[in-house]
Amino acid sequence: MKKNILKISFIVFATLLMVSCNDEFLERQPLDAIINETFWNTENDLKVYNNGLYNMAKDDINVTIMMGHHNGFDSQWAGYEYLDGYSDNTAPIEPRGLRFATVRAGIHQVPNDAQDFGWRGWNFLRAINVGMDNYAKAQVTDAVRNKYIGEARLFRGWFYADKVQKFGDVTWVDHELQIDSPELDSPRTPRADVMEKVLLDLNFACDNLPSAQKVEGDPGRFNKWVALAVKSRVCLFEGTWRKYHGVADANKWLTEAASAAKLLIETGPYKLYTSSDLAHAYNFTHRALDLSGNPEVIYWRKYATGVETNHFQSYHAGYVGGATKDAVEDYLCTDGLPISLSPLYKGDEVFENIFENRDPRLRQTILHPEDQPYYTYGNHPYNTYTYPRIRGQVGGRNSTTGYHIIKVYENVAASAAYNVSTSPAITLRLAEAMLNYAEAVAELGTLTQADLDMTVNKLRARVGMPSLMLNPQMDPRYASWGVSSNIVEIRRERRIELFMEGFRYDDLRRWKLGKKLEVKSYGMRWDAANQSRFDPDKKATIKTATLDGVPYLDVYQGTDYANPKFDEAKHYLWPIPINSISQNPALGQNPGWGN
Amino acid sequence: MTGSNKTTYVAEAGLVSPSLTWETVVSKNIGLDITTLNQRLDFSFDAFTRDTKDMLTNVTLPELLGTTAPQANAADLRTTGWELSATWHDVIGKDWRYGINLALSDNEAKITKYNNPTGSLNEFYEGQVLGEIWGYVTEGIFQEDSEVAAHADQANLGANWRAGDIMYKDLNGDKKINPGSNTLADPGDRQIIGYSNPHFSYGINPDLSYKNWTLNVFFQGLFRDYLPENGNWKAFYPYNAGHVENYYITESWSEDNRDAYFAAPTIGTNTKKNIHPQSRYVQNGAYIRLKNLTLNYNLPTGWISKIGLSSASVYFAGQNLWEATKMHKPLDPEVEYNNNTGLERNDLTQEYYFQRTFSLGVKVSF
Repeated sequence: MKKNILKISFIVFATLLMVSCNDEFLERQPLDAIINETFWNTENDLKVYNNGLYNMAKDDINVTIMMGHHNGFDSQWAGYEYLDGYSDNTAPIEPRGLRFATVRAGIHQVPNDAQDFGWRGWNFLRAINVGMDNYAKAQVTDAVRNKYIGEARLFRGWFYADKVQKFGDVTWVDHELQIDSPELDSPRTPRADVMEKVLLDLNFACDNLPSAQKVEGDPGRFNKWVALAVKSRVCLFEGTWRKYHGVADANKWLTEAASAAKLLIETGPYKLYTSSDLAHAYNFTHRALDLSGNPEVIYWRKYATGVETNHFQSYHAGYVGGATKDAVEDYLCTDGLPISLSPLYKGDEVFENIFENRDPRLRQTILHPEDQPYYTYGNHPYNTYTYPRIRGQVGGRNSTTGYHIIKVYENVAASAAYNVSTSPAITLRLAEAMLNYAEAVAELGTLTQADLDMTVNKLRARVGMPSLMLNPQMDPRYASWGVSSNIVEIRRERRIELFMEGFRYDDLRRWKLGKKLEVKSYGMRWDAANQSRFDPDKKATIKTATLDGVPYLDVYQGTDYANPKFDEAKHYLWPIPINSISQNPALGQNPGWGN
Repeated sequence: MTGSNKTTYVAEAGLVSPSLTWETVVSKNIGLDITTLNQRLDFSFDAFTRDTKDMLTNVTLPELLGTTAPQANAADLRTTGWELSATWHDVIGKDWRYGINLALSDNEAKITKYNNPTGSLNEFYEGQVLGEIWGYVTEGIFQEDSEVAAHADQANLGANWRAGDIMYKDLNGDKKINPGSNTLADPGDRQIIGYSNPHFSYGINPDLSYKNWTLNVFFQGLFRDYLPENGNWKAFYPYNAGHVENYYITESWSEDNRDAYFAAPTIGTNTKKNIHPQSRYVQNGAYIRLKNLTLNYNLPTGWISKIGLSSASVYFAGQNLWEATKMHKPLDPEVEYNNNTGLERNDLTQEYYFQRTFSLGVKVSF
C-alpha cells in the first residue's frame, strides 16, 4: 500500500512536470490599473484620454501652443505676456527675463539640450498619436469619434505649426514610435510637407468639432471656432512667411487664413467686448479676473484656488521691464494719423503729453501718472510715490523705460501672497482673428473698405478712434518696408491691439523685418527736466543715449545686450540642440547655426 | 481647466522593451594570502576582472520618441581592479606593542559594448571609462581687450568677450571654440580633462600601546578629480548663487588682480561663459584625512578592584582632526561625494561639512 502511494505520487508529480503552462496563462492583464489593451471602449474613455492632452498642454514651457501662466515660481517668465520680450515691444532686464533679452539681442547660441519653449514637447505629440492609433477601437458612432479625433488633430496641427515657425523643417510623426522606428534616424521633413499635413489636421478639426460654444458640465473643450481661430493664425503665419521669405504658394495659405477668419467672424457666436466706458473698454478684458461670459474670448485658461494657481501678476509687474519708446511712438493720434504726420502730437518733452490726443489704447496700456489711483498701481495710496519710476529708485514699482505697463495690471493679484492668484489667461480672442482676416486680404490684394469696417474699424470704434479708410497716407517711417500703406496700418493696428500678447516677435519674423530688432530698446526722454522731476535723488541705474540731441533711457547700455544684432541669414529660425543632432546627425542644423 | 474642479484624465502608457533578459556577470580573480615572519606580517592581495554582459541600462534615444526609452540590456561593462591589505604587528620588550594595517585598492570600469553609432557624448560609448570628465582646456584669462580679437572666436560660448574673461584653447585649430557636434569624432574643443572615479583608495590604521596606554589612529584618503557643477545656485563659482563669499572678491580678476583664479565678475546667473566645464577648475580631489584618533588609559586593576569595579578607563577620542587636500576652499573632498548615491555631487550651498569632534570620556564596568 505504502509502495502504491509512493508510485501514484510519483506519477502525479511527473505529470505536473510535463504539463507546462501555456503562454496565455502567463499573459495577465492587471485588474487594478487602466491599461492600453482594454481601455478604449466608450465615449467617456475617449473624453478622459483627451483630457490628458489638455492637461499636458498646460505645461507652458514644454508645449507652447496655448501658453497661459505657468504655475508658481515659473509664472515669472513662462507666460504669453512675457513673450514680447523677444521683440521691440518690451525691455526686460531682470535675470528671469534674460532669455528673452538674449534672443532679442541676437546673442543666443546653439544649446546643448532642448530649450524652454524650444525643441521639446515630443511627449505631447506622442500622446496625441497614441490616441490617433486607438480611437478607432471605441464602440461609438463616427460623429462622436471624430469629435475627439478633431481635438487631437487640432492639438497636433497647432503643435507642428509652432515647431515649424521656430525651426523650419521638422520630422513629421503621426503614429506612436517604437525604439526602432526609422523616424528616429530620419532627416527632418521639409517645411512645406509638414504644413500640408498641418492644414489637413486643422481642416479636419474645423469640420468635425462641435459648433456649440460650450457644453454644460464639460467646460474647456475645443469647438469649431477654436479650430478656425487657430487655423487663421497658423495660415496667416505660413502665408506671409512664404510671401516675404520667397517660398511658393503664399496665396493659398493667405486664402485659407482669410476664409477661416471670415467664417469665425461672420458666423461664430463671438463679438468684441464693448463698454460705454471708453477709457477702459480695451484693457478691461486683460485685467479681468473672470473671463466667463466675456463675448470676445474664444478660449481661455481658468485658474482656481487649490487646483491651479499662479503668481503671474506679481512677477509680471516687476519683470516685464517696461514698454519701449518705439512701441509707444507707434500709437496713432486721435485724427488717425501717426505722430510723424499728425499736427495733434504734442511731443514727449512733458511726460503726460505723450498721452495727449493719442489712441486711447495707449493710456490703457501704459500708465499715465494720474491713473495710479484708478489702478492702485504699486499697491499704495496716491502720492506715496510718483510715476514713472526707473529701475534703481526705491519704493513703489519701477520700470526699465518709464513706460509702466498697466494693460494687464490687476492690483489684488499683483499684491497677493505667493501663488494664490487665479488670474486667467487668454488663449484666443476675436480681435486677433479680425486682424488676421484684414491682414490676409490685404496681402492678397483684395482688401476693401468693407473688410476694414468689419475688423480694424470695430477695434477702433471700441475705443473711440476714427476709422481706417482704404489707402491712408503712408507713414514715412515705414515707407522703406516696400508694402502698401494699408498693410502698414494693419500691421500697426496689430501691434497696438495685441501689444504684449506674444505676437510681435513672430510677426516681425514672418514679415522678414528682423532688422527692426537692431533698433535698441530705448525708454522715456531723460533730459535734465525729467530727471530732476522724476528722480531728484539720482537713483536710477539705467543709462541714457542721445538721439537727435535728446537724451533717452537706453535700457541695455553697458550690458551684454547693448548692441542687438539680427543676422538675416540665421536668426529667423532657432537652432537645433547639439545633443539632438549628435544622436541623429540626419536632422542637420539650421542655416547659419553650423559650427 | 475651465471648470472649478480639476478634470479627470488618463495618460498614455509608456514603452516597454520587448527583449528584456537577465544580466550575466563573470568574475575572475586571483589572490594571494601570506602570513610570514613568525606571524608578524599578514599580507593579502586580490586582483579581479568582472565582466557584466547585457547590463540593464538606461538608453538614450532621440527625444522625438516622445517618452523615456525603456531600459535595455544594452551595455557590456568590464571592471578591473585590485585590493591589497597588509598588517604588521609586533611587540618590543614587555611593555610595548605596536601594529599597522594598510589597505589599498583600485579599480576602473570601462564600457566594452554599447550601441552608439554616432558616438554621441550624450550617452555611453564603447571604450568609455566611467567617470570621464569632458570639458574645454583653459588657456588663461584675457588681460587686454585686444587679446580677444587675436584669439579664436568664442562666440559659441557667450557674448561680449573682454579683458577678464576666460580664454579657451582652440584644440582643433579651426579658430572657433565650440562643442563641435558633441560626438567622439567631433568633440569640438573639448577633451577628457579628468577622471572622477576614485583611484588608490587607502586606509592607514596604526596602533601603539605601552603598558596601560593605547593609541589608535585611522587615516583615509584617495586620488580623484572633481569638477564643481556650474548650474544656477551652485556657489563654488563666484556670483553664481544669490550670495557673496569673501573669496569671490579676492580671487576674481580685476585690473589690480590680473593673476586671479576666477574671471572678472559678470552680473546675473544666466551667463555661463566663464564657467563652462574646463580644465582650470578641475580640482585635484586627492586627500588624506585623520578620521579617527583614540587615546585610552586603562586604570590599573589594583586600584579599581578596591572600589568594586572590574575595569575602568579614561579616553580621549577625536574625529576628522586633520586633513590635507589641494582642493580650492571651501570644497571638501569627502562632502562632495558623500550623498546617497555616491555618484552625484552635492551642491556647495546646501551641504553640511564634517565637524571636528573631540570627546573625553570615562568608561567603567562593575
